Amino acid sequence: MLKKRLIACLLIKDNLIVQSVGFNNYYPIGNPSFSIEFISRWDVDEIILLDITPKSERVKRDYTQLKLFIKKCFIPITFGGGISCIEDVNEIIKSGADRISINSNAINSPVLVEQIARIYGEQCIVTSIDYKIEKNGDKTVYSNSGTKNTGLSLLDWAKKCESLGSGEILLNSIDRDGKGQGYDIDTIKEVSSSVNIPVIACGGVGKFSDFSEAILKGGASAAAAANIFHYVEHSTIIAKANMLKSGVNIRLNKIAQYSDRKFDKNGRLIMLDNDQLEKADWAIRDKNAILY
Amino acid sequence: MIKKRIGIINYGMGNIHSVYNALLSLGIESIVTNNKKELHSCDAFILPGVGAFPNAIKNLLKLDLVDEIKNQVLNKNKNILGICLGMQLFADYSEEGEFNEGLSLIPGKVIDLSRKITYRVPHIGWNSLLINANSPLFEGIPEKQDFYFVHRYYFDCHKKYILANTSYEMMVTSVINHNNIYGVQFHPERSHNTGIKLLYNFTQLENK
Repeated sequence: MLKKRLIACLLIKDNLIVQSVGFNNYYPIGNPSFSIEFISRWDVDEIILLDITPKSERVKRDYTQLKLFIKKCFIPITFGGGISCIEDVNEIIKSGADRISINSNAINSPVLVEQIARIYGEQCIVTSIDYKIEKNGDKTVYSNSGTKNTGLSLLDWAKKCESLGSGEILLNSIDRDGKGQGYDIDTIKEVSSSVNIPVIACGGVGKFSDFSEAILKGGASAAAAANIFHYVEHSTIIAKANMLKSGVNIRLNKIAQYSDRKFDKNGRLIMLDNDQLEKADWAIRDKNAILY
Repeated sequence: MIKKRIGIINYGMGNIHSVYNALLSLGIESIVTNNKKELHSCDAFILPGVGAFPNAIKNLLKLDLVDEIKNQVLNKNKNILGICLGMQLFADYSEEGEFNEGLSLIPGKVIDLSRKITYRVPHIGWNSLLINANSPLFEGIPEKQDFYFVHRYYFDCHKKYILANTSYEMMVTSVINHNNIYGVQFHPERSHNTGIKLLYNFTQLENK
């Protein structure tokens, strides 16, 4: 049976992983190679890597960097950010990414989506949609990192994306981004029931129990988040253990023992202090966790 | 560990790099090539794939690789593993885009999943294998392990070629084998430890 997915969205700015607060403040997290290697070993199902360096600041994209960043990643990886032509896609796939994510440029030139689908297949395209709920209740699509109102209705655009040949939709609520108040479940439900391609919910996660809501109540095929995974050891494993407990059918390979550990109010693991680390028994290790 | 020269066939479509890195993590320095001489020097091949069928077969023809692959696999009996689109290329034909002939290495056809099922298509995510027949390919891989799938089309063939299926409203072919020819619908190079183990098993297969 097909499992639901937990996805980590990692943002890259000027070749550093950053944390975004409200689309305009960025805190540096560190070297992408390390973040990607760690997160990919912590049982997450997929990584979406988004380059948010503004177009005006971006010199020619350095694909050798991308190759290096994902060298030790053995789970699926989707790359997005400023993809404007088929040559960009060629380079990205050649560098080792499995899929590409496209947002504003899908709105500017829908024909690009059709072209990518024809050459790389529909499964290769994740169309990312940023939306806001207007005062009158209309749900509108925004482009250019949430700054430009396109006037497109959310449901119409989602259906259009499907017919153009998108293999998946990454649905991001601008209103909820970075707020930590949970997903916009009603909208996730509306979009996922009006298209027949998988929908990834994104934007608003504040605690680990939010992930299950997007899937069980919103009908999403996958739940994604960014900020919550940073700074905490084994964040994605704990998130998945939480999802499994609430009845989400999800893959969990790591046999990690957390019964004697402390968690913060958001359900994240609190690190051991030096004293406890010294006493820890390093001999306990699951053989299957190191198959090769 | 048997060290073999593994050739990754580079026909301008696949995510060559991720397969190369996965083998490298096993200590295997593979050869990425579309040069016939180099292909000749390899003991086994991997045909990767991300892309649409029509373009892939066009590229193989343009690089004049179709006959060479057949020669290496059918006459020289070297092992080959097709991954995702690479496996679908083994079929007689595909209905993706327009009708296109494949390599005809394993009798079968490639069909659009959305014609057969009502579930969401493409089939994207981690799904488990229902193993039909034992194979050294599965050695050390416990049952019900998940692998990463991302595809819209599937390989429809006689069940004697099917080593494993995957359930997605219907039985979707996930591992095929005919003599020295192996194909997997999922991406082992993206399926974490279990996938890497399967790739390792392939590199250790004896030549028949």
